[in-house]
Amino acid sequence: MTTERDGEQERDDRLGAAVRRRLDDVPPDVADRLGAMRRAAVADLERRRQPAVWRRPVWLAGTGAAAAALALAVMVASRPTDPQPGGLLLADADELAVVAELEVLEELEFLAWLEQEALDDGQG
Amino acid sequence: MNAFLAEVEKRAYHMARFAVADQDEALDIVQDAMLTLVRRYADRPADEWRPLFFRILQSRITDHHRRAAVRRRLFGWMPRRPGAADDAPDDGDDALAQAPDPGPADPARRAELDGSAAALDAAVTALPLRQQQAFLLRTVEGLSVADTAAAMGCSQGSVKTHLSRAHAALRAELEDHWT
Repeated sequence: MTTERDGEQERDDRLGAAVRRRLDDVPPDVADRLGAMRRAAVADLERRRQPAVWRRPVWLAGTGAAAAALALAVMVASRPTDPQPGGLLLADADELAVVAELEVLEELEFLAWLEQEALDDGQG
Repeated sequence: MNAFLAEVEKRAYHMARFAVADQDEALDIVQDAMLTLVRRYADRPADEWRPLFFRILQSRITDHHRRAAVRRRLFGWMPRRPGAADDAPDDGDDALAQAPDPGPADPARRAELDGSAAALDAAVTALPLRQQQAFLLRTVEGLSVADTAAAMGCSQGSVKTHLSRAHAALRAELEDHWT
């Protein structure tokens, strides 16, 4: 009984091996098409794996640019359009210097001279 | 992945060809199985690829037969193309169980084939689809009974039954060549 079953098993194994050998043989045109399909599938896989490598810097740059734009927008929006009294900006100082009368400067020089003279008189 | 696909692609093609009896359909099924494996399961461990690939392949073959069964129901009244792969009687809901034996099933035709390779082809093609799947996946491809059952979408007991019947049929059919 066991021998008979072993014999059947052996025949089945041989049959399986023979069919396997047969199935590894295909006509050349079919082999070409299968190869092309395989290469296309592998290329598809590589394309799908690429984004993780090259899209990350683009994504970071895009996020950085968006953040910078947002920060700029916040700065512009929060900038006072009507300066409060007493709160002069640097640009206003330039404007003042241009507008200032020369007499005022001369007056300041005169006052400095008077002060110096008074000191000299006190010593003399 | 490339090496794995190169190793299985020819046998996968023959499995599909045995099942659908059409070269172009078989190639389409193999291509679909390759792309599905690559897109969904490429990140899985390599030792899982084989059972996954053949499960996908069998699923596509099953889909093919189901579509063919629907076509037969819808267009069964139309004259059939001679030699069409879908030619088969429609006598039940189980498209797989009723899947056609597309090859040269009659002994006279088979006798015309010369050489053991052709005899092998004819004998495997003549098996009912479920027996054919069980034989190719388990005996030829070497999948475990569990993986074969998963690929075929049936129980392990069914796999053993189909396999036993397939072996008996092939032994009887190929006695002259393989004893």
